[in-house]
Amino acid sequence: MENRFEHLREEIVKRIKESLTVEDIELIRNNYLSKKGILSQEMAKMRDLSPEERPLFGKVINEIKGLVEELLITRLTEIKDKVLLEKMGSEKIDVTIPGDSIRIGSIHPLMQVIEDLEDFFIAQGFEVKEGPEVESDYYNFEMMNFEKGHPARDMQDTFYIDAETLLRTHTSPVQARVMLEKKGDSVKIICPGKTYRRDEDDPTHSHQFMQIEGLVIDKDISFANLKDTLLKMVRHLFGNDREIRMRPSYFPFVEPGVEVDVVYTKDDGTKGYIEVLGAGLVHPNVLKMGGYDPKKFSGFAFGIGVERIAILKYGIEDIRNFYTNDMRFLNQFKGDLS
Amino acid sequence: MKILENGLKKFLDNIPNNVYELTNGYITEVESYGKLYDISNVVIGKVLEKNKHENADTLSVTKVDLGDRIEQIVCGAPNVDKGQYVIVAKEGAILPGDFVIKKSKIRGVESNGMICSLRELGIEDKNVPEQFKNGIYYFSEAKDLGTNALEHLAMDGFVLELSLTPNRGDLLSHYGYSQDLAAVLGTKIELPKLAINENNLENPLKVKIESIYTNSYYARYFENIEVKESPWWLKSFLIGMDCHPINNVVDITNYILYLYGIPMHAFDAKKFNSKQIVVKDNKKAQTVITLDGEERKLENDEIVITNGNEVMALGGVMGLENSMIDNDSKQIILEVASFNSDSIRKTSKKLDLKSDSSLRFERGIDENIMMHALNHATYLLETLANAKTSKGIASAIVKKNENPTIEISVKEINRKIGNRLTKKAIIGLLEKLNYEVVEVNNDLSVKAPSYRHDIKINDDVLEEIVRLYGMNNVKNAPLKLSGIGGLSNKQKRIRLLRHLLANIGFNEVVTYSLLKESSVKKYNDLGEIINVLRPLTNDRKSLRQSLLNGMVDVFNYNRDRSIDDVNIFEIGHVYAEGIENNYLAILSNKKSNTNPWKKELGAVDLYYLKGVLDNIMSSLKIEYELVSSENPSFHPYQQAVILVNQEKVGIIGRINPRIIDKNVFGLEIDLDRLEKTTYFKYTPVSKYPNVERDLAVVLKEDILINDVLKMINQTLKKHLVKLEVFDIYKGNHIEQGYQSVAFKMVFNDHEKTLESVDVDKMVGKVIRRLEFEFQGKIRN
Repeated sequence: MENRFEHLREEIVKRIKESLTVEDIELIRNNYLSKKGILSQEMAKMRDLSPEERPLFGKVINEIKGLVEELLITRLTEIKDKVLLEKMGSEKIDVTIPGDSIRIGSIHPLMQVIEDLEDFFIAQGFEVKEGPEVESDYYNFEMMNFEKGHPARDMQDTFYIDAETLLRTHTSPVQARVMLEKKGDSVKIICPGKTYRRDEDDPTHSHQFMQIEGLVIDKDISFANLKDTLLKMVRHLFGNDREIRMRPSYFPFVEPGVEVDVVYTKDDGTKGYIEVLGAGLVHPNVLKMGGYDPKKFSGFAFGIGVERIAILKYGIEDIRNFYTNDMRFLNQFKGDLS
Repeated sequence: MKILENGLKKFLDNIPNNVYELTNGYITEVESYGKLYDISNVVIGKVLEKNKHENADTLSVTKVDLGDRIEQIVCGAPNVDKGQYVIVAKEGAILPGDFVIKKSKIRGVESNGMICSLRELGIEDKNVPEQFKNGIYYFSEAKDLGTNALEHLAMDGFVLELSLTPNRGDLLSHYGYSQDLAAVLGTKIELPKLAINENNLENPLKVKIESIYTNSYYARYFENIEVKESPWWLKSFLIGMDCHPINNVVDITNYILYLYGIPMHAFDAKKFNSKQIVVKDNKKAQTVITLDGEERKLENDEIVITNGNEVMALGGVMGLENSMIDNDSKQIILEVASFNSDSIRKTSKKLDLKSDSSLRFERGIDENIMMHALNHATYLLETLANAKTSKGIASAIVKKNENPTIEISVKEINRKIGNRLTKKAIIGLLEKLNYEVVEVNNDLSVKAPSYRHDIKINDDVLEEIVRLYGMNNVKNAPLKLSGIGGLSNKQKRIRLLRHLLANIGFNEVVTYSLLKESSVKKYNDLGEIINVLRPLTNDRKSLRQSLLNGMVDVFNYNRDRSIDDVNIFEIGHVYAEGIENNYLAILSNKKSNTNPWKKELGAVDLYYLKGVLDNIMSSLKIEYELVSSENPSFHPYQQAVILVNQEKVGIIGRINPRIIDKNVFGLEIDLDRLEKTTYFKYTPVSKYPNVERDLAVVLKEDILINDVLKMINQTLKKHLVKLEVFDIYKGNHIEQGYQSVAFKMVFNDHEKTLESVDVDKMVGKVIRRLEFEFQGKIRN
């Protein structure tokens, strides 16, 4: 018996070794391991044996069965792997051909500056407020303490729509709107948005432009607070080693009024100054009209020209670029711009 | 306003080198700063010899003493002569127009430098004195040889151009500016000392003020006037101020105006035709001719200077032709007056006539310096026009400007500055600025000097203190006010859209809000058009009602430059009478994923942009549908309105090929109408497997696929987790007018594993409705 099984085992091992395809493997499996296969037939013969012989007989057949299964799996894996290898061989490509163009768009540089400053101020507890661009003369000028005969109220400088309505000349009217809305509560806001002035378009002027207004009102808001806030903002925008210079100036809605320059070092080592914004302490008339008692409350306000910041940050030579929207211009403003 | 160093020197002796920085930091913005004439190496020389040039009739060969040496210079001017003190540009000098003086040979004769005319120093022809028009300039008296010629010509020193803000009327004169500069320097100005000679004849003039807008009026009377050209130093000053010299009398009044900010006017006394000066507020319509030769229509309430009957000048604005100084004037009346600012502003605006004089009255003059200015003018008339001054000043004084007294506490000042300044320091600062300061316990009672008209309230005083203390010297202090900052949900959604669209391949643009009126309603009709009253051009007259106008312009701009990949979006306002809404628009002509060598060229169709719209709407958690529409600016058969809750919120479609003859698609949505309908909540992931079924059905072509999708959705409800159209087929085996549409449905149940029978039942329902409601034929 031993001999017979030894033969059988050798025969199977040989056939498995010689198999070449998945079909060969299936054939072998059918031949030996299926219900009607040779090993099953051998197992059936066990009934004819004496009870003493049966365990040994069964053990031997089961051993062969186990071995065959194992060998079949191993061989099958080898065959499949070989087939896959051949298939992949036929799939060779030139990895140096250019890839697909998967376009990424861009955010307009002016909106990038606005979002950047929004994030900067939000982190310090400022709210972002907005207002209409078609604005009343009352909010735009009257509540900002512009006298009736003030030159800015001239038709020369402002796009009037009718005697009482205009395209806002600055984002300051949002100050007035928010003050009235807050009804005497403290205010800490910035207001980004579009503004319009009757200027001919040229490399440094645009009849449409963007501003970010800032307003803080509370008890004991000081000039020192204004300076601190503006210095931090300038450093956020232009780098931590930046200094600012303040110059006395005049805007009807603040007193004192200042203009703020960023200091830079010229090629020859001397200091240069670039004007970036106007600011000041809120004029008591503005506080009063907004419902705040100037004896108890004080505040500061500032207005930043968004184009100006973008121009300085990115070295843009002509303000009209922002509104022409040449794709070669826009496509540069993506990814890391720091 | 220009400040000349030569003018400043009348009031201040030591002018520091950092005057530019000091002015910017403590006074006002400086527009520009530099040398009045950027010329160097130009010195005084004396002509020792003049000989004829051997090779040229019109040239002379001179020997000129430059103090340290004698140079031979060839000169072409006919008026050069022996003994003259002349202006010599030495070798190395640079004259206007980058003209460099070099050693040279002129027609064979060596010439080391140039004897200059005024024109060669940059003086315009019309301003060169008659005497020197055709040649070189020379001095009438001896000068130190080799010294800077510009100094002797009063053309030396700096010019500082102030960028003036409307509050600082005091800076409209050298006197006013020097007051502020002196405060910064911690010193005081000195007024020029002038000796005048009145003669014995009484001033014959009488002044009467009937005008309610006139504070005071002073007049001097002069005889024996010689009207002639001004001396060069005076001309030079006026030229430096961009003021054209006319004659000595007019030039003197202009000089005084720039020096003191006090406007003056000189009348020809003969033409004035009366010794009586009556200042009135005009009460009748009449026409007058001003000094500039223009006819002016007076209506009512203009301040007029009259001889009792006839108007002789528009007070504070301009003189009239009828009493103008001419070359034959012998007796003159010189006026100085103080008029009400608002009245002058109104007259100036009404007549559209702005003058140096009206500007200064509008901003306010210093009444306390009027007399000194009048004396200075008198002194100059005596010395430069040979004037004999009558005795006394005819005057009428009705009132005087008075600055308010302001009470301000040290505590208030420090609270608003945010630093601690002592009372003593504050008083010191204000006294430097010539304020009257009185201490009342811990309060200060202060009054601004008469040359300031803008100091009315506490905060104005505060500004003065901060300004002179040095804004840059104020120590910073962080804000203590905390606040709950952040974006509103609406603002966050706008940002989300901006970033979403940029990330999926669109460039954000910002375009102009003002358009040509006729194109406003091209893409959208929002309501009544808003026009600006005075547009810069007709192309920018009306406010947009759609963002697509600007975006199509951007497309065309880029296409004209052969940039054919234009995929853009804009978020911005649109406007109509009573309406201002925030819109989003997209324009696209190429898909975001392309590969030319794979022939994936990315041609856009409506379904691509619809996919983008799906992304927008699903990120906003809003459901929408499209319904075919008829907007003439879109392709008639490739456009639809976007509906949310049965309401129109936007449009999508191909831009009409008549507008752009390329395959370009656009969409526009009113973001203000996208109110959130559902709020985000997490849905648990099912534990049970999905079951997929495909179903193909032949339908009439005119059946809208969306109607079928809606029916399937409605039929299967919560068991359907995904529904897609995976094939649409027309042609072979399909009857004309029909198409085969294949749907893939994915089923799931959160409670149990779906059995085949359950799914069959559900698909059966769909099939029955397809057959019944859509007359569909199921394919196998």
